[in-house]
Amino acid sequence: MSDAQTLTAPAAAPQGLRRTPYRRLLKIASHHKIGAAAFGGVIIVCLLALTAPIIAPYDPFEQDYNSLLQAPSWAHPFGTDRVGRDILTRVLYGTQVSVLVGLVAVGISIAIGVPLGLLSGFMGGVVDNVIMRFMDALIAFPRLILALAIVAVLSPGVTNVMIAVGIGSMPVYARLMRSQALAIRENQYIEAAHSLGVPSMRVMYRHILPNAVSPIIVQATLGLGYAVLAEASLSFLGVGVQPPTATWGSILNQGAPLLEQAWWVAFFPGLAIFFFVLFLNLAGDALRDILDPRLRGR
Amino acid sequence: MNARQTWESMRLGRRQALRGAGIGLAGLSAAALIGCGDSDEADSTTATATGTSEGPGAAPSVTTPDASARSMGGTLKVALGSDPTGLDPSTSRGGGDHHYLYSIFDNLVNNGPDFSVKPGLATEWEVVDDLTIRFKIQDGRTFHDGSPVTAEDVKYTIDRHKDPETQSYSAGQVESVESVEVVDDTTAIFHLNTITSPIFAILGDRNGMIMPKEATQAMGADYNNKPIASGPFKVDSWAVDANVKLSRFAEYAENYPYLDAIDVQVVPNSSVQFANLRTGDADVVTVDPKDRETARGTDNIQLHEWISTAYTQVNINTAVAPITDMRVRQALSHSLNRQAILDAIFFGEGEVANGPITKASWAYNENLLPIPEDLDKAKQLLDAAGFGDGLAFEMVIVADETRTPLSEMMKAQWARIGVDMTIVARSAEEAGAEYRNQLYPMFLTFFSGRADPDMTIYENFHSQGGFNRAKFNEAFTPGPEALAIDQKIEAARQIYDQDERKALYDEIQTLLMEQAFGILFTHRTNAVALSSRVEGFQPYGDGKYRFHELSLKA
Repeated sequence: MSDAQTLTAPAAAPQGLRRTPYRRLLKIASHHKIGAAAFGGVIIVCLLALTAPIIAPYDPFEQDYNSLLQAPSWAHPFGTDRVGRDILTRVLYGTQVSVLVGLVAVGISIAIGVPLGLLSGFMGGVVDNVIMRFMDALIAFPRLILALAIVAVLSPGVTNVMIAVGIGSMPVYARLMRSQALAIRENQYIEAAHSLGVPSMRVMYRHILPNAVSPIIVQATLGLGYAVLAEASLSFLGVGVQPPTATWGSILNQGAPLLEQAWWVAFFPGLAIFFFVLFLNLAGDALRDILDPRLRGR
Repeated sequence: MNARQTWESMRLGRRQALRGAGIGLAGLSAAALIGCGDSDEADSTTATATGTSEGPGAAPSVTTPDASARSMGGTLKVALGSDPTGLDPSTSRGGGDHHYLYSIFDNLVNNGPDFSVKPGLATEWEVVDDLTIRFKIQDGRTFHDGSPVTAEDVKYTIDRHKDPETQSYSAGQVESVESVEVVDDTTAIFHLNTITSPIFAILGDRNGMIMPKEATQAMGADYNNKPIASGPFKVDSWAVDANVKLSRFAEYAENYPYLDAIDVQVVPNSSVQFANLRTGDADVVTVDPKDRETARGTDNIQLHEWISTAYTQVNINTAVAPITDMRVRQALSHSLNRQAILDAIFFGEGEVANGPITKASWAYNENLLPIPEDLDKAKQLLDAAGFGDGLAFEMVIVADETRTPLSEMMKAQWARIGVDMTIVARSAEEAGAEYRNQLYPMFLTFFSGRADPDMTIYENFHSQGGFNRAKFNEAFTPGPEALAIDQKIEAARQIYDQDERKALYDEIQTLLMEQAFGILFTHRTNAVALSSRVEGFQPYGDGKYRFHELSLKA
């Protein structure tokens, strides 16, 4: 690490740009057009989730027995399902669950994974060994299998899906944080802090953590996409959110066997998953480019 | 071809078979005596099959027009929706298990396609008196390990079901068999403690599948995975959630069975099953109601549709609050829109249920109307039961493509009278276990039906029935209404005259529905699709497949 970086790193942002954050944003957006569009998409999806009760044309649980499995029409733009519910409405309400599960699951991953990784990287030795071997054990399972096992133990439901997906992804954040901490703790300002008698806890939280935030943010954005997908997968497998709650995965689950009779039941929630995860991944990629010091200023 | 036509053609087929009946022997007219079907037919049925039997184990119960015309060899590829719950006839419990078991096991006697009694291991029997039946096992029958089938094995099979340690689902079915007396190697006498008119139908089901005493005892828990039996096929392997492979039991009989092997793939998704048939990856699949229309319009497949004994219901445990109160159950039953359920979930295939006995059986009650949707009445009943402000409970379901949307419909329909039902979606194993453990008052699971109305009604609705989970609840004491129904069920079991029995079952069904001991939705129809190379398919009234009867065109 160069001295210049050592000096600038603790500050949140370079001085010159702080005056015009809006213009800086525009500048970044013009450099990352796809990323900007993806962010826009993510924001729109979040808005849809928030406003679902207002903009949805029907009640998500209302069953109209006179319109079973209707193909898309003006009355039902995404068609209706087997028991006569409006799919557009259910997909909109499903957005709420997907966004919520995504955010909370990633929150859980970060809340547990980051402190553990920080401790591991900073302390080293036995602590590092114990924490990281535990993480290795977790990572040895495919993430979805691990989530399945956790849901099986905790019993299905929204809360438990969040916990399962969160714990399943936790090792990723722990490892990432540890590698950051390992690199940062060798810096002179950390040495300086130590020699001034700053307690270890304070060094970790005031000096190491803020400097390791960028990759965590990038990972969180990508992880959000994974969490949305994981919730959909668990619901698709029938162990996720309990019926009749609408989630993208559960609508897809009910539509899959009907693909030949009514393609629209599975198609639209599938499309929603596809675009939201795509947006999140593109946004994550763009964030990584923007926050990576080696690419900064290009 | 619609269901009725198929049903008719099936009956015709049987009549034709009867026309060619051989000389009546045995002459014991057991079937006539027990009152299955009208007496003449039942009598000659017994004679037919016996008459055509040649040598040991000749195709029992098969009414093939001309056996010599059938090709030998080949592997039948089957796609079924689920594994067996087990291959041990005592402890397996699934309605889909019979598809496997009938090819592996020989029954003491068989249930024919129209529920008449057909020879099995026993080709002769004599009803000595009301409580005594003498069975003669055909000479030369052997188990897969080469040991002979003896009367001792028959006794062992029944004793094993009755032994509480076995925890057999058949215990209730063979309850009236006081003891089995071994007279000699091939003669066994059943001593009944009460007249049991459906005893032959009972023995033609899982309960009468004969297990070898020595091998079964030696194998212990392993018997459930790879049973040794005396049926036309042996179990080669069972990989859970993947496949069951059966191969021909060479010593079974000359030129029977026709197939070399049966390869059953477990394919949970019904659309995939049907797709497998169309691409040639399967020869036999069950056609889900949603695929029936497509199947009817598909060339190069054989489609059979016929009336089923199966009905769809929610299993209720009357010992678990809040449905201990009859008025609550009645309210729940009256607030369902069964026609909408039939249309949405079963794509209009089948009928709205009026009772547990379907048109496939002689005991169908043609005068009983389905419980009508009546929300006012439902609300009044709830009010009277003290739940006027609402009622909440949980219902456990086996989450799948049929039961999940069905449970959502029930939830929405019950919500109209202020009932808040929470759906607990589980795997089949978990759901069954949690329901058994009295955690939920209701379990959304269907019943495949049985050959005799007693088997269906006793098992599900008698307070000691095998599928009545209330009996395992310590707090459970059957109320006066339940006891009155119990008495009628027991009485119906002891009547030989079919008309008299039917009158009693009519009454029982009316009570069961009115007092909401069962909440039924629909009666089902069976549909099976076969590839064009399959020969010899015979639809059975119980809806269970007999793969061992099939052959493949050369």
